Amino acid sequence: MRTDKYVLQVISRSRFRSTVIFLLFFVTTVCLFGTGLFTENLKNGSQKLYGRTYADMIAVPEGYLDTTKDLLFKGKACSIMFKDDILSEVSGIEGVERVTPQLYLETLEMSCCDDGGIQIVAFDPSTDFAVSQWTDISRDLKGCQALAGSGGSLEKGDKITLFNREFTIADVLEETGMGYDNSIFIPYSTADEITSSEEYSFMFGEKTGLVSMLLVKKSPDTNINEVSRKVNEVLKGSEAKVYPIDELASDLRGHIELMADMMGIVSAFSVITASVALFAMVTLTFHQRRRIAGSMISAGCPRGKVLRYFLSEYLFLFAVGAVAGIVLVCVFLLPLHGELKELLDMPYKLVSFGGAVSLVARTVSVDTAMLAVGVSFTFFGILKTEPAMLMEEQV
Amino acid sequence: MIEGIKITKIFGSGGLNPLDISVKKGEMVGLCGASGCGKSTLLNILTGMLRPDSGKVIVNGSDISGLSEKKRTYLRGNVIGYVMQKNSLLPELTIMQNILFPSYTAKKSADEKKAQEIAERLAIGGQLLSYPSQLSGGEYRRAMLARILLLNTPIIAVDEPTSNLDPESAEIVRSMLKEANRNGVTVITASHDPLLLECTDRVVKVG
Repeated sequence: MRTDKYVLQVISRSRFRSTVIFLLFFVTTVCLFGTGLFTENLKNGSQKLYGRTYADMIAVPEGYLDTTKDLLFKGKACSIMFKDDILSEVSGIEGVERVTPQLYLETLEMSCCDDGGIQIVAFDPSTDFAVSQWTDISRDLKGCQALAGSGGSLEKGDKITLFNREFTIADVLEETGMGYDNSIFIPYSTADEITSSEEYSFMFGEKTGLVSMLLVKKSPDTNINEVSRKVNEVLKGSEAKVYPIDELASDLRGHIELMADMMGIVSAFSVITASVALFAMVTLTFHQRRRIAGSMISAGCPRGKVLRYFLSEYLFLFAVGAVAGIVLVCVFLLPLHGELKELLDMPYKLVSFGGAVSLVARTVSVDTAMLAVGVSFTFFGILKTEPAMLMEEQV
Repeated sequence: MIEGIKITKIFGSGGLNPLDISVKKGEMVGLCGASGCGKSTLLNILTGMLRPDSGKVIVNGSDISGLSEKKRTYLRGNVIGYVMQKNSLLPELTIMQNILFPSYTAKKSADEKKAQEIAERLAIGGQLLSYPSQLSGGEYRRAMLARILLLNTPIIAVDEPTSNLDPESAEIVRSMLKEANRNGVTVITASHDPLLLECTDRVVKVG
């Protein structure tokens, strides 16, 4: 009898047993893959912190350090401004390779909607090394053009009105995993016109040369602590201070690691629980399996084939449970990606396809190990017992 | 054709004392004795389902007690058909599938027509699409016998084939075994049923 036909018939006839085994694999996969994917997304978002700014250090006003962290890592819209007269001083320091300013403006105005603050990020295309990593167009951005983050509904060629000026979306950036995804990027020169305009004097006091932060890139083979010390010496007396990017992100990384650890505990607990349950299920059905194995062997069926029948049944339920678990996690986590990102208030970015495949492989490996532990007891019992004893024939 | 020489098997306080048995080709032999005397154990040993503690089992000139599990399995599927005392149909398969199962595993062609014919003669033709749990005790035992008859092995070993059967069912089983024997099949049966033992060529007392 063909193994697949036998297996499907056994599964359909032993619905309770099959359902329990399916559920054990399903629940384990959901826990393992779900927590794994969630954790990997958090770690991925965390790893993007550096890549997102592409800076080694950031100079911000000392009193705005927490606001800067919120802005930088959680994407909370805000306006931070100080005079950029330190720009030339910082760029001349030994060990500093590049410096570029960014200005963050929060506007409640948008012609297309009115549902809250939009973060405007003004950058200098001539010195920028951050935005340019997401699109080549940034270097040639004209005054009436803007770049849109990946999270909004804007598309290339759309027109938007910001601070009573019309901008054309020149490009949409790739996902960064942060609030930057909901930001709009404009040239620094245009932002300078806005802050110095009489129309918005109530917000910016008609000032020019305002910056929110300086992104600093150190020269290769220089010590970041040494360079930041030198920069801070130069900045002494000004309201700004330079911070290594890792130092700014350390709190957040700590939170992410804590959350990852908690997810790991949940995963481990679910695997242990499911393994014990599977083992209990296998043990409970062991007597029945022994008799069936004895019946088959008495009818001339080789032990190898008997074990193949049993293993195929487990493997089928295992495969269906694992696939269903993975699909459920994807169906749940992928459409709610945006909502989760907002809810978490921390970097969260989907892992790459390769990362997801690796996670699936890891999940399947654990499921397989669980299956091996569960069935080895039955198989060992069947292999070592005389056929007649499997049937518990009387003397 | 099948010979047991000084076979022993110990189970706890009981077991099988040294026993010699010889069954010639085409013979129908009955095993009798009190309950627990070792009739089923002897059949298990003669069919390769159980290894004896000592002694030899010679089938067609070869000692099967020393054979590998693989060879003993082959023997059960191709030389000796065995109907155990305990219920041994596969619960998830239909009666037809159960009857055909040994043919599948012995890599013989599954002759559904012949299976149907045997089932009709054993008065279970209407139950072929049923599952074992839906059968009465008598029907169940006849289905087990049908499985072995279809396999068409030169030796059939049957343990208590008529126990707990109604007289009509028991008569069907007896006549089918006798007919198989008339067709050249060697039959060894353990039984308390005097009518069945009467059908045999000779009776061996065990214990």
